[in-house]
Amino acid sequence: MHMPNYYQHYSPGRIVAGYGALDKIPSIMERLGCRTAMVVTDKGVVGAGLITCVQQAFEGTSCTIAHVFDEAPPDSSNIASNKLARLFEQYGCDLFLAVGGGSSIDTAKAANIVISEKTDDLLKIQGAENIEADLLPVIAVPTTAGTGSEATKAAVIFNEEKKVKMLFSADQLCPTVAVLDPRMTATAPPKITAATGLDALTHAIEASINLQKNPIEDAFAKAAIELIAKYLVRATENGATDMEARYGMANAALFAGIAFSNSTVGVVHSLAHACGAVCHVPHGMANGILLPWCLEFNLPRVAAHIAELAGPLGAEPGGNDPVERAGRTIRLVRELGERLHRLCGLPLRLRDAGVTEQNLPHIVEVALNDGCLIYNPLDVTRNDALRLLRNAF
Amino acid sequence: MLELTLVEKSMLFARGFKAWRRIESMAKRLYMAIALRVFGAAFDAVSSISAECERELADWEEGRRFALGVEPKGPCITLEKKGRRIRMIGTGLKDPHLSILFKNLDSAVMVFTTYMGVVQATVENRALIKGDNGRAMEVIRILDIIMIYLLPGFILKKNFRTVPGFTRSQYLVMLRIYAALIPALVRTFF
Repeated sequence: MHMPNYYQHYSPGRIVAGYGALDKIPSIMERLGCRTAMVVTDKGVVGAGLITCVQQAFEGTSCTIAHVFDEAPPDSSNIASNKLARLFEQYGCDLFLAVGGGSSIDTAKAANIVISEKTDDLLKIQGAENIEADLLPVIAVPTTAGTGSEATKAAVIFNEEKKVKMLFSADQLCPTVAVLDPRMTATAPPKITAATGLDALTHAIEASINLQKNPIEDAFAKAAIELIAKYLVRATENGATDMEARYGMANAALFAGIAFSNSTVGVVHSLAHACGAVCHVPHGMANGILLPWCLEFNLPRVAAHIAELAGPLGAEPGGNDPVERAGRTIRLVRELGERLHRLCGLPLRLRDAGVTEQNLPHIVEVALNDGCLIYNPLDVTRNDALRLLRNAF
Repeated sequence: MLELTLVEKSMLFARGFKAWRRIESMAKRLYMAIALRVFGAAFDAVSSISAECERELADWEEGRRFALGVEPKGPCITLEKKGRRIRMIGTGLKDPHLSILFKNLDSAVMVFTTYMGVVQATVENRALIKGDNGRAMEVIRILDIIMIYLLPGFILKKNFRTVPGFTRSQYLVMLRIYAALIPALVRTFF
């Protein structure tokens, strides 16, 4: 077991998980001293009928939903957050109930900052540990099993005026409660299920090998990897008919979220963020394509850490050579990607995900400014980043 | 793994005395005030000569300011991009676009005595970044270039994840940087 000289772990949120867990929300609100929720979601979630399930949970209780804000954009933005904050105060709400993927949860987190810090200029407080006020309670109900935002102390908000992504990281941003109900992820289509599942896998693997790796995050990450190895293909293949697989994946995403919220991520995420910014490649898809290549890149420095993941990924026990065992881990990650490709057409190459060769130098420049690179086991130069992208292209 | 060296054991013993703690704190503050000014001069010297730095600075807008220092109310310097170089414009926070502040004197001293690298200090949550994360990465890359040119190889090996190999021409650049550091130090301190 790797024991660093120093590490931190913070994961204060209550986790409520199980089929029908949604029904617990009103009683959780009462325990938090709250009565009036602002639901934060997007039109896709409303269209899938998932908000109706949430509304049904409130029937016959003393808690109410004051308003359903269904304007969370695909990339959480400062404009949406400011609007949500105004509505939250206008309706006299005392709690955010975020129902959706990472963008809905991040929009709620950002509006919470706006209200609690009494500012509408989020640019002034972007960065790490710059939030001083206590935030209002947030209950997060994920509808995808991937981002882990229901358990992370970070939010990414796009500043629409200045066209920059702002990163906020502070302990207070961790949602007060995460509610995992497999009914909420059951309707996700196969390609989204596969891509978000690979996002969770990347969170778990990067958290287990990067410079902030520690024993607590290792435990969460390995549990997540085991669940993903067991359930991702099933969830993609069987859709809404396999609630066990959906539930397994919802837990996997949460565990991976706790792990990377504390251990952060590395070069895979830096490159994937940049692919998203330059070519609009969906985040999970980019992570899934880049992950095996970046593991190979980091292998000379962290072969033993990568080797430890072969077991959770389903490899037979045996083999004492860490490099050989690490190679097995990478092969298993590749095989998982290939199975998902055959199942739902998830791309295996950047060129099939909308990236052109001319985009690569621009992606490199954007990736080099991504904060995740600091935590990668190896330094990543321009040439390294370009080589990784060419390999994955 | 967590074994204390003789020096660390002695320091722990000495810290039992209040007077020692006061002297230690004053000494660290003074050390940091000087070290930051030396780094201010190093930014000036390296940015005016190194091609790697020039490449990094190419995309910086004129007048971009950043601060390096210690919280709370510790020594601090503000630097600004002027033309093709980075100049220290004074001590304290002078309306910077970005600030990288160590959470306490101990953390700052560890980095500025090269006991610990910038990356390890970040990994151990010893610094606060106020401002755009991307800009912070740009500053850290320049800080890396400065350290690569100014520090001896054995320290780089200890503190850097990957130590780049030096070409002959880079050794010449290093000599020019050391020569340029002297007038930069004079400008910074007087």
